Order: sequence, then C-alpha cells, then structure tokens
Amino acid sequence: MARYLIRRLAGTLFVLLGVSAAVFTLMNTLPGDPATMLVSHFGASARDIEILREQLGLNDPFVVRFGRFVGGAVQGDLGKSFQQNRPVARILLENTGPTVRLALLAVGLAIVLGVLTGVAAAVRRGSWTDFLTMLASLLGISMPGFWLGLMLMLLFAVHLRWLPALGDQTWRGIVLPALTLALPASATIARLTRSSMLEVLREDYLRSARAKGLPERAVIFRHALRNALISVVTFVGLQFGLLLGGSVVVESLFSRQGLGQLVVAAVFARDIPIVQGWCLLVAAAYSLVNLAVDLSYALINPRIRYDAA
Amino acid sequence: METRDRVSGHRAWLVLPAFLALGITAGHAADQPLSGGDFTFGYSSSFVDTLDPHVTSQSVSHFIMTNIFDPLVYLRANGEFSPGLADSWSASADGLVWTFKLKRGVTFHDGTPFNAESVKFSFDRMVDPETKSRQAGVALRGFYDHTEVVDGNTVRIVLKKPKASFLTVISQVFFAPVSPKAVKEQGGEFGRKPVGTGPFKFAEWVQNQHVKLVRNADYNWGPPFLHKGPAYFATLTFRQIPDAGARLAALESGQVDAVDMPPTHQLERLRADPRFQVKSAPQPGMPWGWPMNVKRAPTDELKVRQAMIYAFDRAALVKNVLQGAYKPAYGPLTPVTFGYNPAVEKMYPYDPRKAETLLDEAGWKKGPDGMRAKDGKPLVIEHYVFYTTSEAEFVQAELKKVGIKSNISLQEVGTVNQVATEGIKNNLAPLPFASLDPELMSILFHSRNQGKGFNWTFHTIKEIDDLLDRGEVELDAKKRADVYGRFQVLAMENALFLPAFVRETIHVYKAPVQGVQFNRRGYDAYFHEMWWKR
Repeated sequence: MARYLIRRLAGTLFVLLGVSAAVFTLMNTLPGDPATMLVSHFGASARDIEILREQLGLNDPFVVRFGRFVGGAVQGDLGKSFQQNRPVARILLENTGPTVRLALLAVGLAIVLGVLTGVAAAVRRGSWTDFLTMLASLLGISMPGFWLGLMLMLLFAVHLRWLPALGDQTWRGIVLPALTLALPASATIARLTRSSMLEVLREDYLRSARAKGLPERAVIFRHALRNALISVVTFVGLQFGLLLGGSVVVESLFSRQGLGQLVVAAVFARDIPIVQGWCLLVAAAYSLVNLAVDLSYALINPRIRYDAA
Repeated sequence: METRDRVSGHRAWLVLPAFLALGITAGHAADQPLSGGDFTFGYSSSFVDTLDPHVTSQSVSHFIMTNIFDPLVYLRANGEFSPGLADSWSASADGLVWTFKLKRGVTFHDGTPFNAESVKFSFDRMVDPETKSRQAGVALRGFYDHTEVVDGNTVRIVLKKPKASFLTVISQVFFAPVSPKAVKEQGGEFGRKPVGTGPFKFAEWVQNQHVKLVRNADYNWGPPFLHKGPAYFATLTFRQIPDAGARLAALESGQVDAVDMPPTHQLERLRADPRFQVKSAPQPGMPWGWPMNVKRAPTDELKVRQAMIYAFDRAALVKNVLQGAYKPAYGPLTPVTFGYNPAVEKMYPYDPRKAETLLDEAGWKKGPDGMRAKDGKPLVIEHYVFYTTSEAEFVQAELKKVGIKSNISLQEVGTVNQVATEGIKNNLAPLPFASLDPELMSILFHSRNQGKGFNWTFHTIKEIDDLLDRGEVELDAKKRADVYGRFQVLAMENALFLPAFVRETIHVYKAPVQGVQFNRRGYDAYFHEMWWKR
C-alpha cells in the first residue's frame, strides 16, 4: 500500500510538470498581449505598452520565463498576478474555499439524488417509476448548466422568493448554485446506478442472501448497492475534478466567489501567472481525487488490493 | 442587521401612499434627504482587479474607488473644475509649475492627517516602476518631473513639458492621494484594503462577489457642488453580477437596489415600471465605431471608405438594433467631449446613392448578383468583432445594399486586439474608448502608435500627427478646441473612422432612491449624494 502510494504521488509530480509546460506554452502562444490587455480599458501609447511589458518581464526569452516559473513553483512561489499585483498562491487560496464547498455540496446532492433514483428505477424495472426517472435523467443530462441555473433562479428567487438569486457565503445562497451543478451530475449517476444495479441484481449471491431471510432493504442496500457502487464512485471522482474546474458558469451566473470566475477573468485578461497557478492547482486536485477514488475501491470491495501487483 | 434596516425602509415606503390617502402628509419633510439605510449596487463588469487607484486602469474599479478617495480637484458633469482636496490651484504662465493649496482638517480613514507630504508621496508612487501602474503612472510618464512640498498645506507639481489636460487628468480618482502610512504598512495588499479620504471607508471585499463600504462619519470636506457632511447611506455594497439576466433578476427580486447596463431590449419595460427609475449619462471620449485600416485593401482606397460611411444608416442602427438607448455618432469624438466639432455631423449624411457613385468611380463594378468587383477581385471587407455581433451584422447588411460583401469573425477580445494591432488580416475592428479629454485621440490616431498600441488605422497623414502633438501642449482653451476641431474634420475627410453610436451609461435604480448624479466621466455616480426616500 505504501509503495503504491509513493509511486502514485511521484507520478503526480510528473503530471504537474507536464501540465505547467503545456499551459505555459499555450498561454504564451495565445494571441493577445498581456500588457495591451492591462491598459485596454483606457488605452496607452505604444511606448507605454512597451515599458509595461518590460516591467512585467514579458520581454525576456521564453526559456527564461519558463525557468523562472518552474524555479518559483518548486519553492511554492507561483509568481504575481499581472492584474492584481499580488502573489498568485495567495489569490488561489482565497478562492479555493468557496469553490470546494460548492463542489462538495453539489457532489453530495448528486450522489444522494442519483443513487436513490437509480436504485428505485432498477428495483422497479419497467415500471412507471423507472420510465419517469430515466426520462427526467435524460432531460437533466441534456440541459445546459447556464440555462438550468437561470430557470432555477427565475423560479425560486424571482417568482417564489424562497431563495436569493445571487449566491453568497450563507447556506441559502449556496442552494441554487449547488443544485445547478448537482442536477445534471445526479442524472448521470442515476443512469449508472440503475444499469450496474440491474447487473448485480441478477447475481446468485443476492438469491442466497434473500434465501437466508434478509429483509429486502438490506439485500438491496447492503449487498447489491455496495457492488454496484464501484462504477458510480469512479464517475463521482471524475465529476469532482470537473466540478472544481467547471464551476465557471455557475459561479459567474450566481456571482459567487471562486476559482471558476477567477480563471475566466484571468484568461480574458491574459493574466498568465493566475492561469498557470490555477491549472497546477486543478491538476493536483484531479490527481489526488483520482488516487482517493482508487483507494476507496478497496474499502468498498475488500477483495481489491494494491500491493500484490 | 443592515439588511433588516433596508427591508423596513422599503416597507415604510410601501405604506406611504396609504398615509397620503388619509391626508396625513409629512409636508416638505418628504423632500429632505434622510440619513441611513443600506444600498447595494449590482454592476455588470466581471472583475475588480485592485482598489489601488495608482495601479488599476479599470472603469469598474474607478466606479467603486470614487467613494473611497477624493481627487485634488473635481471635474463637474458640466465641465467646470471644483475644489476637491485642493481648495485652490494655479499654474505658472508656461504651464510647467502647478501649485495646489490643500484643504485643512482632512484625515485619511486610518486617522493619519492629509497634507502636502501625502500628495508628494502619492504622485511619486504613481510613477515608481515598482507600482506597475496601468493608468496613473502611464498618464504621467513623459511629462511629470517631481513634486515639491512648499509647506504643510501647499504643494508644487513640476512638469517637464506643458500638458493641456493636466487638471482634467488628475481629476480622476486614479490620481487621488492615498494614506502613506497604510501603503507602507500593507505593501502589496494596499489594493485589497484601500485607505483614502472619501465619503465611504473600505469595509470588506469578497473577491468576484462584493465590495462593502461603510459611511465615513467624519467626512465634511466634500466638493461644494455636493452636500456638506457625511454620506446619507450607512453602508454601500457593490455586488458583481456579470450576467445581464441574473442582474435584472437580482433587481426585481429585491436583492440589489440598482444595476448598471440593463439589456437594451428591457429598457422600455423598465422605464414604464413604477418600481424603478432609469438614469443615464453620455460618455465622453470616442464613440462606438470602427477605425478603418488604410493599410489593407480594399479600405486602402479613400472612395471605398467614404462609400462605407455614406452607406451606413446610423439613425436606423440606433432605432432598430439599440432600441433607441443611444444616439448616432458622426466623428471620432462624442458631443460631450471637450473640443467636439459639430461640423462632422453634416459631412456624411446617410446617402446610399452617393456611396454607389463613389464605388463606381473607383472602378468597383456591380456584377449580376449585385455585388461589386474590380479586375475580377470581389469587394470584400474583413470585420473582426468580439463580445457581440449585432452591430457588425447591421453594418454588413448596409454594405451589402451597395454591393460590398463583408465577413464577420467573432473572436475573443485579445485576439481581436492583436489582429487589429497588426492590421494585416482586418479592415474593421470595433474600438470604443471613454476619456475625459480629447488627448485620447493621440493614442488612437497618432502614427507613432501603430503596430503596437491602439492606432488601428495605419494612416501616414503628417498634418494629423502635427495637430495631435499641438493638442497635447496647447494651453489656450480656445486654440486647443480649434486644433481638435480641425483634427476631427481631417480624420473624417480621410474617412479614417466609421462612427456608429454614442454610448451612455445606463443605471436602473429602485424608485425611492433620490439624488442620483453622475460625474463627467458619465460612468460614476456620486453615492455620497443619494438617499432612501421613505
């Protein structure tokens, strides 16, 4: 187990270096000059733009800039934001909390909603419940998040006035953004749960469990669901990474603080240090969540071990 | 608790008509400004970078900072100067030495006194390369020399060469004095916890969400054209809501008390709704429009460019695409800008027939499909746009009527900037800039700003360069207006700019908000002056 962990963590470092190189190259080949973007709110003369480029270190050769970035990054220094003129690490830290909270809540909601409806549909296969749940989940998957969010906002904030239209740090403010993220994810989870439950329900060990006289609820949730959950957990792991990166739409729609909004603004403004730092953070989060997912297989199904290989 | 104050305030307003009906009127009291209450403004811009006035160049930052800082002089909406932190000022005959007599008894929000030292500290900070200024330092560069402290309440700002727009430039909050103590203590974090002398003190900033300010109870040094004493609102919150639909939803569900930039197709409905009031102010500077690239065919031909302006019915654009929210534009400056020359309004009346004649004369003949060509080459305009295509599509339809084909490429703003700066692939790219002074024209039309910077026309007309150089240093206002008046005519004679419409800042306030007043920039409102009618 320990060897496996070390190997995986070392691999993560290589992933991060690769991500940095790729992002650095991409951001530097993207059309649009960061210095011009910084002054483009009021305009500046050609000479002033040149001086700003010099001040930002943009006139150094590509290799020098990349070296500076990697050298800083290993010491935990991700550079300074062009726009805010503050350390990138600090800016990312400020914005991580709200995004992680939102993503955790959305994932939690998606799992509860998705697994319950998926199980219900599988157990009553072919019934109206099954048909309606699957129809709803198809709708859920096809709806663009932006549109769904706006509809939820109009319904719950403008018409019913139950919840605020804008997300903030209170629990009431987080409900609509979390639902907007959770509903499409829960739809996929419902479909996954249903199909893997249907496979598991055919297995012999469930027949023996029933024969032993176990109540149906225990058969479904303790024995069947546990085995059906592996594919769901894999999906949720992937989804969590997506939520971290993909909160962009929801955060800007509900005007919530977070990494999504931060990075969109940074891309448009060519604030290269922020975009690089964000990519590193998301890549690291992705790797770690994937590792956690792999480790959790062993918890769900004790027959899965890691040291044998 | 502030939220509760606001809610009860609104309830009081709702029952007011009932009192009036009963004959229990408050008499004149209803028109007296009332102190108290909270106010939340939902703004459209997606990002506030920093609230350090000496660093940022963003309009939305200026909008918020206007409440936290006071400039040395105010430029009123009517174009007159008014005392700010300086009681009076004078310039030497050669325009190189500016002496400011400062107000006494002014303190920064951190309790330190405002004085000549803090003015010197602030100006030196703006031009310090370490500040990496994007507006203040850039604007001062090249002509600012140094600042002298004459005595505690007198400073002398010494310039290297005269600058006609000096007073106008420093009337912007980008040039406001900051607390030296706070800057020294906070270093790079000053822009997150700004300390100024203004009517509101900084309280809280949740990035990408809101900036909250509280009333400065000590404030009694406001400019003479606003009321004396502290602001009426107890707190002031700026809430970021980039999505136009969400912004209106927040206003209509009562989560914010005002918004900017409503979708133009909603304006009519909002104007008719008694719950709201729509306020607007025209923006000085360059109108919305397109510099024409004279380096690339076919806009390298004067007659083609002129034909494009004749063929474009700007009044119809304003009426049909913009729902009458804005006004047509005729030249490179908007009518509220210093030196605006109304002569440009008569230069290119909408005249598609004239456009056709010009194109015929230039040898662009109409084919059987109605589109024009010369020597087998079709007449095609490459048009790069970002953000929205509706104006570009309107122009496309107008040009098609006279036989010019145009291709629209929708790209993200950085790409459009780069394409237009290089000028190899495009004929048109939109470029609106707001500015208090016509000096902006140097950035957009002086040939030294080609290839890097924002002159996207690539003209080589020496007379234009000379006029722009003179405009920057001419201290006599009358002569200066003539210089820019001549420039506007010359720019349009050469058809360097395809004007479209004059933008206005549009704010929607809840009906009980009183005292709305915009500044000269047209972008900022004086929240110091506003109050809740109950």
